[in-house]
Amino acid sequence: MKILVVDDSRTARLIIKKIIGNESKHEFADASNGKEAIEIFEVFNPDITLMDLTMPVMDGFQALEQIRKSHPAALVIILSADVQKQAISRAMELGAFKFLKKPPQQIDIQQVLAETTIELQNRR
Amino acid sequence: MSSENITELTELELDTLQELMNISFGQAVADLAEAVNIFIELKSPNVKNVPAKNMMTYINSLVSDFKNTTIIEQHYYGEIKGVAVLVFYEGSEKELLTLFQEYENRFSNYYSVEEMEKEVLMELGNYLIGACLGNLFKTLKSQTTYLHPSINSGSVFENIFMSESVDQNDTAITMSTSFSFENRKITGTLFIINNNSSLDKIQQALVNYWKMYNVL
Repeated sequence: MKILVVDDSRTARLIIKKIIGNESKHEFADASNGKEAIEIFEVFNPDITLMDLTMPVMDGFQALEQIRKSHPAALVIILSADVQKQAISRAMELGAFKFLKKPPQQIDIQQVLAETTIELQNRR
Repeated sequence: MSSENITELTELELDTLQELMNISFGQAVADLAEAVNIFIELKSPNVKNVPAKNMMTYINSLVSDFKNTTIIEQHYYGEIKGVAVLVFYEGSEKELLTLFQEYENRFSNYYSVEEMEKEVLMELGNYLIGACLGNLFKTLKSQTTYLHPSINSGSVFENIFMSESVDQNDTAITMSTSFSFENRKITGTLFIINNNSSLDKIQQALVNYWKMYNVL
């Protein structure tokens, strides 16, 4: 699976990839803000994107909106420390596939990966 | 890691502390936002090694017109020692009072508007600082004691800080994060200024955090 990890924190990106594991089975790309995420998305064409909300340059809300506009089928999972109810509902309204709260839990990441795998299979 | 030669956090350590600040403040804000039924816009936090003698220059670079802000400060001691400084930009106190309308109605016969504004700022500051630090030090597994918070203007804080709070030859591990209440003129920045004596504890706590995720 091709996975784009978007977070301004290098630590957060490392942890997400460690939790996902099986690195030989997956191809990863990184972005450190929303603007980079949009640019890399076009070139990398990921199967799923894991994205933070609070980022400099362009935040996750704006990036999510733009990615979903140009790629309506994009599977974007938000992984954020901003866990306000309004943040969650905004992200879902903008087309997020799932919203996960930080700190990331292995069981949540693995469950959402399983759900996205099923979703991708259903689309084929 | 020996502290004999190391006086500052590395780039990765700063980055990890930034992420922990992000999570801690996010959790604190979520509960507050639900209580007052408002959305609070968050900015990505920043963590830097700041020489104590340059601290006020650093704060002034992030907070415009600092002298006219209202400050809630709270000192903490223990394995990690320092001071949390919650800066409310000028005008925030009046908006906060209207936000807490129930409070204003209940106490308006007993207190002046200025006193109520101060009370609301103190309550909010006490909550935000306490919740954020509590989350952060719980993650860092640090035993910490808090002093009672106090309220001041930015100019008073600047004078006190420079004369009393830190060793001018020290480097402080400084975390900051800004926020604003949506559709309200309420804006602020939280600074968490850790004394350099906390360096060893912070570094060890970060190593333990990385071990949890098998990072490095």
